[in-house]
Amino acid sequence: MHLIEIQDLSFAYPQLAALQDISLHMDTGEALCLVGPNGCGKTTLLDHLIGAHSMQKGRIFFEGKDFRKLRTKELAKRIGYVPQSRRNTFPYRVLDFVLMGRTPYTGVFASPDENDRQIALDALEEIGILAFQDRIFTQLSGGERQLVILARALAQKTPLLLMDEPTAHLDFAHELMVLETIVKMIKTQNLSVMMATHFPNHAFYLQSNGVPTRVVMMKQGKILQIGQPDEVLTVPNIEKVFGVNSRILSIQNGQSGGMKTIVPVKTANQSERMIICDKIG
Amino acid sequence: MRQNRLKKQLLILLLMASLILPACSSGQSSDQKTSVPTTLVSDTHGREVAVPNEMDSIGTLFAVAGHITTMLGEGEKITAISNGLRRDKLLLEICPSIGESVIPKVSGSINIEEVLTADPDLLFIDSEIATFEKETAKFDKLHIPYFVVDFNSIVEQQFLVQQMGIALNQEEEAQAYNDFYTDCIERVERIVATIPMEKRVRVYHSVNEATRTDAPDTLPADWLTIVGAINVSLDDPLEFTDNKYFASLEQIMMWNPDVILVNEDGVDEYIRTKDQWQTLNAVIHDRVYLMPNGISRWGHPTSIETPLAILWTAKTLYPDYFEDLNVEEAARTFYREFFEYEISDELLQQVMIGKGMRNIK
Amino acid sequence: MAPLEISQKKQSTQRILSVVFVLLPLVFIVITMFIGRYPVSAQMVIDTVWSKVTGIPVAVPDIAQTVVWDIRLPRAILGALVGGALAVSGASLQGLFHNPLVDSGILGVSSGAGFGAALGIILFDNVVMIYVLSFIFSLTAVFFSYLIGRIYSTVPNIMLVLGGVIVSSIFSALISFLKYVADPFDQLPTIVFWLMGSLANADYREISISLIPILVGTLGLFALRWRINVLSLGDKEARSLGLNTRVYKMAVVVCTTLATAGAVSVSGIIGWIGLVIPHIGRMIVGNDNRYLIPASMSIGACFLILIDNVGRMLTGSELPLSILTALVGGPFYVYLLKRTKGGGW
Repeated sequence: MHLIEIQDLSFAYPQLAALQDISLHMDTGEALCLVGPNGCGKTTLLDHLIGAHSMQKGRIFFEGKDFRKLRTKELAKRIGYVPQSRRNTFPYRVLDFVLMGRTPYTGVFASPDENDRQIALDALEEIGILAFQDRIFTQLSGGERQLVILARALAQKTPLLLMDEPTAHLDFAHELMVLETIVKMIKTQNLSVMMATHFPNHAFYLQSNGVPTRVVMMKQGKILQIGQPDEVLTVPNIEKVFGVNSRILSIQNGQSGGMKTIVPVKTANQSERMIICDKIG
Repeated sequence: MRQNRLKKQLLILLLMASLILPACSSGQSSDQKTSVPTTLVSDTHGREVAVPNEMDSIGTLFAVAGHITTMLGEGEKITAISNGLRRDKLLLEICPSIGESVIPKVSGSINIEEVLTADPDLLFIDSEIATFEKETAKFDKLHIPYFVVDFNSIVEQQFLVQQMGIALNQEEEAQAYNDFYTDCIERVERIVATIPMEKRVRVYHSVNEATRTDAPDTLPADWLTIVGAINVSLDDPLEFTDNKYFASLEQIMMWNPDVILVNEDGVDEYIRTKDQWQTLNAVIHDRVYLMPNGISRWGHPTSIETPLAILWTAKTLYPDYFEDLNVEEAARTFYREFFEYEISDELLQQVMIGKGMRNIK
Repeated sequence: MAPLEISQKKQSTQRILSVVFVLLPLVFIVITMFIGRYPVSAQMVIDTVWSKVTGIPVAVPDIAQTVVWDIRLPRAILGALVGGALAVSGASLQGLFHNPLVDSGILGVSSGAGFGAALGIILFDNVVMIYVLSFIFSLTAVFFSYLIGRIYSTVPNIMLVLGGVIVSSIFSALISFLKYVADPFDQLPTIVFWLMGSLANADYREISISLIPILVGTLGLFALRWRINVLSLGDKEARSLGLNTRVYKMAVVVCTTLATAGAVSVSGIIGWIGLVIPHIGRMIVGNDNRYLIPASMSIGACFLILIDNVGRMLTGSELPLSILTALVGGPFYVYLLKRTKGGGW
């Protein structure tokens, strides 16, 4: 039995078909990277998995259970969600923000109790930001905020985490920090992660850090190919999906061995830039 | 922690309970106010008011009630007033103690505690307050008898004065005023009947504001008819807001009155100088008149000097027919007889001109 | 371990604050019994209260007893109820729509209630019907705001607020229309009085009328206060955290409507409290609705009692409440905007 199984999922907005016949599955301990350009349907797919859309066609199973039979609260005990860096909210304290991860476990009219507070503190400690607990969420940097959101997802104690561009708008160092934290979470908490990303390199990063990783390459609401990063993230596929000419390099990286990375070289149909690029090359 | 929350919630419930509790134990206030001998007098709303026979404090929360009370010789007992009363210069000149009264109402609700500081034996209120059950409930609760003052015609005004005369134990004085009132009407009516219709003057009556005017079934409509004026605003629909009637400028253009009567100092100037009004006959022929202002603005919908307004307007509209009518002397007699006040020539002139007789708010 | 100590200190401060928030409105109510234009000595006030609570007659003039027990006390209690209800509704809606510029007036509650009352005055000459209709129409107004909000479902919050603005102005127009057709000598003054917003006529009957909707509404919001935190994150995240957003949003809106309608139906329309008080609360206890909701309740209650006392003490005549709340609330709001630089929420 798969952790998640999606069968023939289709979804259309009034003017636009967003998903067409999506079928895929993922298993516990795995990282599934949804790769594709803007508007390819990644976010719509994730939205289905958090129950934000009512399903039009197709079926989704969580550990064999039909999605439609899971109530919002039960779903939230199984699937956590890490959004893109948040738009402004009320300036909550970090600990209070992380406590919100405990919502599915509190009664209708109740507030989190001491036990929930301990879990939230543990989550902060796990991520390594216990010192943030009394700071104000909105006054943190983008990267710090993202770590707090990861802590909240951890406090939610779900076997599966969905992430929608978790490193969008982050600087170099913070992007890496968030990725390192994700790797740590997968390894120590036995989590599975489904991650939508613009950056195919994230898949190589996860793989080279010992996370069993598969890539789902999407274009215009359809799945192009599913497989190991090596099989899917190829120069022809990158050109097909992103319209970018690229090279794939291997980097020798001390103990952990090799890591691959995609270097975009030029967009496919702008020939005048080729000269410059070739000179650099 | 859970226990703490429970405690907190309990505390809040207790707070709520303590709020509810008093509500359950109300209504035991006893009715032991020492009973004083009273007389039943019906007010203008037909209520039977138990008015104490002996009174030393009277509240007049409607200006005209203050005027009438003063006229009936009880002005010095007034202890609570509405804001308007303090603006009437001549009244304060006649009865200065009114200026020391408390003012429990400007607009809006009555501050009942302020009324209580005056401890009135009887309260005169206007019909607006009277229609608001909540306000009158306060008087009932505190056993303050209240008398509703409401009138929209000469007959009703005379009835009011008569009833207030009974209430204040000054029936003769009231009757004398009403007789004078009737005399003035008859005197004018007799002559007006001889004025042919084609000589009747078309009049526009501005009340406080340039475009505010008279509707049918109001006191001004009544007395303007008596003086033989053709009141232009009576036959057209008017805009009604905030209990006042307004004409539109275009309506006034269409009516094109021969005479404009103004009751508020300054409005006459406005009409004479404002561009839009310049095409009117009344303005062209310089027949825009500011009405006199004594204790009240003569001719105002609640004016106590309506009989004088009748004389003045008759003379103003038809000077040829009322040559031997001396309005000034009539006014002098009026203030002497009914207010026991000998008005100086200087002040009388000011009253007749109508300027500067109201204190600034 | 340092952070934990800070947290514990914070907790004890919060405990003290909770006690203060519970006691403060009671203190204000008690103080109100002692002040007013009519001179009643402190001893008389205490004797009156003693007599009323124990039933033992005391030698206090009837009139003083009435002033303390039937005028000042119900006024203070109603002020506490109305102020608390308006403030807590404002705080909840601000959280729900993650918009600090919102209060219950924004959903059309007030103008709906005003219309209902005016209709009640014209159709039935019956006080109970006035309350009932004002209540029904405040719910109707919110319902229409909500329908408009759903026309364009991708930005439901903005649409809901827009819907509220539209519904508010339509109901305001309808109120003007009713004033136009009302009997000028009988009904119109009553309508004007009703719309003015005043506690001057508070009595125990009004308290008992407004108590149930206000209590149900505020206690509902109090119970939901943690969920309002989660709802303030936006639909998608709230849903991913296990909240059925549609149900909970509806619950919050219904509770705020109950509380506000209960308040407006007895006191008329009083502005600014729902907007400003929650921000004072934010300055004291922060933005966590677990603390903000009870704090707003308490501060709102105290604020309205205070304002009402000022209104009846400042001059001999009653100064309308909305004038005072606007005069205090407006500048304070500017100060808040300056302090938070317009976007620090």
